[in-house]
Amino acid sequence: MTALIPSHLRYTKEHEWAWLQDGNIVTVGITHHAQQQLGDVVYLELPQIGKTIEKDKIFGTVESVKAVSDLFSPLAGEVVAVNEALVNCPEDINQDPYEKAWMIKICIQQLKQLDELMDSEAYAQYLSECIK
Amino acid sequence: MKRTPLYDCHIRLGAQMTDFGGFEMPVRYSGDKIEHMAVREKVGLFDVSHMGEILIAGPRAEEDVNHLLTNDASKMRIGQAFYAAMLNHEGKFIDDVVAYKFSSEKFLICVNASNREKDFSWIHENCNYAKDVSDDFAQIAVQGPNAIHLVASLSHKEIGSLKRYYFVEGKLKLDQQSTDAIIARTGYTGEDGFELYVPVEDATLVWETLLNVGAKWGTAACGLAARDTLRLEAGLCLYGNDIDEGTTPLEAGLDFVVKFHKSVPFIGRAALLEQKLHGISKRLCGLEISGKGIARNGYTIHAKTGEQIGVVTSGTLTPYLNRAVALGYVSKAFMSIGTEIDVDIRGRLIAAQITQLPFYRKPAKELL
Repeated sequence: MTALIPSHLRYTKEHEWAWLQDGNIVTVGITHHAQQQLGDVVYLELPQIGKTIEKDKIFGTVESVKAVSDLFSPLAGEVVAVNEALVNCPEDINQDPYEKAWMIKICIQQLKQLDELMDSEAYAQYLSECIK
Repeated sequence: MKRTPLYDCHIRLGAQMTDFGGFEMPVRYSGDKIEHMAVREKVGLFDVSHMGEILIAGPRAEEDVNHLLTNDASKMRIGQAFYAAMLNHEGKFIDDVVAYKFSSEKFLICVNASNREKDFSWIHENCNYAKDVSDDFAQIAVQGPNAIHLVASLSHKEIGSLKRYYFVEGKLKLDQQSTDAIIARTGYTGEDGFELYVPVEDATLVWETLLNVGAKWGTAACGLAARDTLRLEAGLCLYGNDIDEGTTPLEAGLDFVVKFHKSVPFIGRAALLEQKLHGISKRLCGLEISGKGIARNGYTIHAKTGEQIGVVTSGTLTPYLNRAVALGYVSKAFMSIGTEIDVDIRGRLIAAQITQLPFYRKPAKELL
């Protein structure tokens, strides 16, 4: 299960992950569980660079053969990078949700916000409750 | 939630499960596209044991079936299966079903899982003898161009000459034993294939034998997600999405299963005849989305002037054709093939066109 819930990431109840890298830049994507629930992803819509996004608000949509799902931002901040390659090849979300399928990088103001997200253990616990 | 006799098989195969019609069913095993393609190119297995089966029997069974269903049971041969609508007095769908004619005194009606109780009480009220035998059967669909090789290899009877929409009562060879089976050349995928009705106690062995023996023909276990994209690509209606108690078979484009002139008229005939005389105001149409996006159930359909002219009932990006298609009800004035329209996809109007149904049709020479 650990490979499916990497320990260096933080998680939301909406099944996004966040990774604080350098300084105050956080990379965001969706979890293994999220891609599994969606099935084969066919479209992805992401915001423009420079857009300000709010915590828990929609920043994009991901669409599979089966369903469409909104993407919720784990944190508030400004979009500083967008994975354009992923928009053209959204099936990578199914193949590699934590590396190749990063979606956006956000420059965040308050590092404290990260503490409100679940760590891998809490997310694993949350998932086991969801599946029940 | 209920489970089918094959529940443990799905868990062993690592299927992702979902609630469907009150049953815990496999939504996918390996992936939606892989499973979809397996059925178009090789062969796929589906657990469809959640479907209900209702027996109508007795000396007046044929009259009862003619009374309950829109198709003409008297024109069917013994050993023939037929698709039909079961309507209320307003001519609207209680369900869409497949009926199997064993004799003029015995019919088996296969109904949608979610409608099983409703259907049984309706059938029971409106016929002389009916029995819900759903729990006696497991049902496995074997679909795709290689289905014939796989099922023939297990069948005691010769089934190569079995025509589409015919069935036999036979036996299937399993490891050290054999089991009784109704072997029907029917399906819900737009491919050649079979639906096997087997006793509950032998279901696991039948499933595992089909998977093991079928390995050489590229057999894949397939879930409900693939079943949905396959039926949609083939332009087949799903009860609850495309047809329901608000629509009639004439609106759904299912005129070919409505027989107005038969020995015993069907329930809903008067209402349908009235609709036929006055003409329908909307019809289920095929849509192809030319812009980016997928039309989903409930999205609105608009004329180029902006006026709403219909609603989407099902939609997907079809894995085999790789086209974004949908089914939806469209007002009469806009339903001719080629009409340019828009679909409101989450607040944006995306260009689409009325297109020929089905989206996918197997070349006739490849289908019996």
